[in-house]
Amino acid sequence: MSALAELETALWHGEYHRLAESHSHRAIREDSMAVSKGRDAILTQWVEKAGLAAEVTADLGDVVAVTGADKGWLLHRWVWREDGRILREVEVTNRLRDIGASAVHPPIGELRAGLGQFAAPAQPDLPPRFPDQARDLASGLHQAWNGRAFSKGVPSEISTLIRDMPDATFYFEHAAVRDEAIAVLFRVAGHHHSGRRIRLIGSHLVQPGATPQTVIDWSAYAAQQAAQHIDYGAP
Amino acid sequence: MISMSSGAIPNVGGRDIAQILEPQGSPRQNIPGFDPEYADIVDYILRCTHRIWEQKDVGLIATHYGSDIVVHMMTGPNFGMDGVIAGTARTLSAFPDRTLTGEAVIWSDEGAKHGAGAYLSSHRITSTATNLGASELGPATGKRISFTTIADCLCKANLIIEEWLVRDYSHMALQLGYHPRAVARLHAAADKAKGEERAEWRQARMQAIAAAPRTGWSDEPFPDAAADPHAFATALFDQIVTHRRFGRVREVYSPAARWSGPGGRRLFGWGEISGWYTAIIGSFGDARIHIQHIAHVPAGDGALDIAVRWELAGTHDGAGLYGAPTGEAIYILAVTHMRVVDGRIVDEVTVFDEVALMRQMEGGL
Repeated sequence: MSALAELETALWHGEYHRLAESHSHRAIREDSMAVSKGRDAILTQWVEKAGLAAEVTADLGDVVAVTGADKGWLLHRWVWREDGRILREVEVTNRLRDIGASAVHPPIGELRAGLGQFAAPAQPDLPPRFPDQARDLASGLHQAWNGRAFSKGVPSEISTLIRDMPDATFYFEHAAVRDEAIAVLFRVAGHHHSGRRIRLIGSHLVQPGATPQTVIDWSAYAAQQAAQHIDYGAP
Repeated sequence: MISMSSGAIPNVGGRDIAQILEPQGSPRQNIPGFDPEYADIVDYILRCTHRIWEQKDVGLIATHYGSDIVVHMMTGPNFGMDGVIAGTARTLSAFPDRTLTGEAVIWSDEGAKHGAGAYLSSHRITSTATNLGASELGPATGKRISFTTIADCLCKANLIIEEWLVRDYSHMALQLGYHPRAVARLHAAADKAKGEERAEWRQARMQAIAAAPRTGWSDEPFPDAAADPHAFATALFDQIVTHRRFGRVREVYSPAARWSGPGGRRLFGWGEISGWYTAIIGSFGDARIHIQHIAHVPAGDGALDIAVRWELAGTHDGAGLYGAPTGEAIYILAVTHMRVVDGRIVDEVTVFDEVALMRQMEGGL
């Protein structure tokens, strides 16, 4: 069991004091709605979940998959470390509860950078140090999701997003590989028919002998559709 | 274990707060005239910030700031140590439990220009605080907020002798429930009620920026950031901002780059980041940019942190970001911190005061 899996299990059992050693005081946690800064802020979020039961169901080292006791609730946690302590977390969960949204700045820029009228390129643009062992999977997901090659097999979560946001664009941020399991952290942005740009973080896990698991924060998806825009021109 | 991510000078990376704030031992750097308890410029900045702000030893400013200090902000220069002490006390009255987490200290040796032992520290801080007293933004709200500040401090012989301070006031206002434009309008009204001309310092800066010679067209690849961080940062601002080549974002940023900016904005990837630059020029079509200072330090694991302090002058002639164009001449003082990995910017934080910017649009300053 990796250090993260062991820590995750301990935290779900209420051992929140462990954060003092596991996390940097500068640690941040990001999800599809916000960035929380500081170890204390992360501790607060753990305490808010006290009483929920969950278990680690996949362990890729610095990525774990967690399933809620009712089996319908999923969470993928991604961490980045600095000299052993967790400096950054990304939490992707399907929440299964309604949330509100603060006002946000209007969207800026385009989704398909510099492409204009061109179709999606054959290969994705991947960031520095994207794991080599995950490049083929990222490429396949890009072709299926961004290239709309639904015949290659697209998770229902993804086809739902594309149906609701015809210009939905997927960006592959990071990956983790352990044994034969591969997880890909991605972001999706698109313009919903509500008139809002929706920006979500998602996580896709492929394990031998198991159905691929795609986690999308549907609560954030709903909340962002209703979020008000900040208008600097009209106080 | 201390991560020696800045060569021989430990930085915030790899160290928890207890390690950062404990006495560091004998000096690790040439810092003549600094108090003997400080080991290097990073230690000095991190621990004096803690002592002054979190331990509330505000009077310590008397031994850590020059008596004739100038603090440059987008609202204008502030002169003298007494003003620093008063300003600190005002902020602490409004936010008494403010914690200041040092996210980065990007420093440079300024000995060539200011004599041996002079350093410039660009200190990025995430503050968390409860608004229990009235502030320059409005009455107390009781709300707990988080905001980013970058303080560029020129330090010598234990004294900060010049400072450039940028704070995300619009993000503060939004979290407190105030509308930044409304706050700016109130501030501008107060400015206009004084019946004075527009601030001379601002006119002078805008004229200097506009008069600076403009670089020529170039299709050269961007310099290698690892080999010459100064040239890399200069080229970035020159190509993307000065020459409006927004598409060149794709050459220097990671496709998964995370960007944080004023007003608490968060952007991701090439499209949104190039959109930001486009929107700035879309708001200030004749914008000219001038870089005041660049510093860089290694950040561990082959990464590089670069700090760029810059100023922008232009005319609010477009509705890009700040509502209907006002035709007002505007001035921005900003600092950008960027994390570069394998030649690509993977993380960037830009801070400037949008409330002061909109105050100018409302006819103030």
